[in-house]
Amino acid sequence: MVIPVDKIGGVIGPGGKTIRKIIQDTGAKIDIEDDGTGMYEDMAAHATDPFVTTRTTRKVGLGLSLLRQIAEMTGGGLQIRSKAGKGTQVYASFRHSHIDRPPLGDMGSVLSLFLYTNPQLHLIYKHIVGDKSFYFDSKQVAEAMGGCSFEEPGVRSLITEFINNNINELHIQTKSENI
Amino acid sequence: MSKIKSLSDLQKLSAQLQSKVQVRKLSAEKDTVPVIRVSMATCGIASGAKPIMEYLIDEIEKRKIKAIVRQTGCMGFCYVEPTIEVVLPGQEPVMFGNVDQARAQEIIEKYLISGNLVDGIIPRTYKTSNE
Repeated sequence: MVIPVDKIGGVIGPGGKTIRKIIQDTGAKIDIEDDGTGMYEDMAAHATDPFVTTRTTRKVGLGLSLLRQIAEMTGGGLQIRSKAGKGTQVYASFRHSHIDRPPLGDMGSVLSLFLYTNPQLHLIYKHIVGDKSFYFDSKQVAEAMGGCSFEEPGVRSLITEFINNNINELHIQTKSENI
Repeated sequence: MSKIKSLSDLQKLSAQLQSKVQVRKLSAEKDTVPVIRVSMATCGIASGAKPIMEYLIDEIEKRKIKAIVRQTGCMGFCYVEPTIEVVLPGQEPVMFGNVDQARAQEIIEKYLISGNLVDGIIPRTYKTSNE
């Protein structure tokens, strides 16, 4: 599952946002919440239409349409709530065991790349597997690293490894319990 | 080296970094250093823009080149993704299309460092898919 980073960057505000992923035995969920510019009601209602986009360089917008298609393909769905000026929430659910559910992908490198190009933003990522979870708060992490910026050389690979090690740990523990 | 798992691991390793590398506040210098923008919409990502962007960042860090790498949305040239835009200070932006790792390396070595043009430029007369 790839979250298009340009989409996140376009709507995010300065106050922080939450990306939460919950995997249970029956389903997988990706929730994205931001406090950015938000959308007007009409736009939010049509956001998953591939022929609706705010960009001016071309007439199609595929990110949310593809996310909805993939979610529905696995027996899940997509819900968007938005208020102009307040922010947007995107909730996508998947049947985790469905053969058409794509793998999540490399969240560590996606998030560290996002922070590299948007070091001023406050990103919160929660990855929940069963009753175990990993919580990543970009402000907290930047403070722990002595206030160093996410765009400093070498920091991106540290963050990638930090996130991926913690996520892998959640899945390893769950697997051993299942046995 | 053990695995990086806790905040204190990060703290230790980043302290080692800072002793070796000068802290860069590149964003503040955006008018005097080159800016590379990587098109990271669905079209770009599907064509492999993410690994290209990571390669560009790794290369400029390795070569200690002062340059800013940023993501941007679709620039309208979906048929030649991945596309990147390079802006040298005081010059007009130049767009490159079909950027694979070899072309990215050539762009860094020939255009970014010495200002010589290389293959893959999207001429200004080309139209975006909206025109």
